[in-house]
Amino acid sequence: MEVILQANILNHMKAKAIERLNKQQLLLQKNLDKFNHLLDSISSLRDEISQRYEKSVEDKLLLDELKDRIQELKNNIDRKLSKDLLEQYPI
Amino acid sequence: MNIDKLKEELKRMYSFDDLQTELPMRPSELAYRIKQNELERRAFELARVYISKEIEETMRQLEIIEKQVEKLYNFNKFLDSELKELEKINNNLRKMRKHLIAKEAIESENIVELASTVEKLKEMNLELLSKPTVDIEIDKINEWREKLLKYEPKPPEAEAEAHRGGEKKEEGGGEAGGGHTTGEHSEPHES
Repeated sequence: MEVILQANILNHMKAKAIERLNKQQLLLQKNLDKFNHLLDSISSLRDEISQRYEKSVEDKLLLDELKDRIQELKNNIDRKLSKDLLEQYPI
Repeated sequence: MNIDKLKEELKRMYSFDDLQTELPMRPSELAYRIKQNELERRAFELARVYISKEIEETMRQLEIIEKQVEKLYNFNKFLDSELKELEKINNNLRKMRKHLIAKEAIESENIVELASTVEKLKEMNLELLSKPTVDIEIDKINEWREKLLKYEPKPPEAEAEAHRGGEKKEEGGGEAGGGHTTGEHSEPHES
């Protein structure tokens, strides 16, 4: 009888342990899904940021170019105006 | 062996009601019953051994399962901390993206603004270049010239003269004409 009782108790313990194991496995699956999802998200964000950064660098170059062009045009206008001023009002 | 079946078997073995009611038995029947009891005892012994082995096996499995549960628990814990880190990284990346989008918008506006400025200046430049001379606003120019004349540097002699006059006034001696003004420039008198 003792042996049977022991067997019963052990079976019960085994069932409980299997229950815990299943629970942990479910949790693991959930965590792994979350992990994969986050990795995908990070990967796509990294790509997007990289692209945007490249665009930002291009924009910066374009802005510098435009500023240079404006400066050049302003200088041209200044030269022309100075020349005309000297012609009209010679020192 | 099925546990319930085994229980039934044990119950049956431990009940002697039938033996008491059926006594006195014939020798052959008694021998048969003894033999049967002996067989049942051996069967029971075998069952006990079998169950003991089953228990050992179950304990071994239980141990393995417990170890697996522990391993999984630790791994899940580790994954949890890693997930938190990843979430932080993800949030930072989202913030960075937001920041870049805002920056892009500002840069686009600046580019549009600068491009329009370039266009305007180009037009102005072309217009100016097409004219032989530009009509400059005379009033303004005169105003500037007047302002400039105020700050026009004087020739050195006039400046020195003005300087001397100032010094005389400062000494306030009422001397008119070319008297000695300072000790440095005066020569020593000989009597």
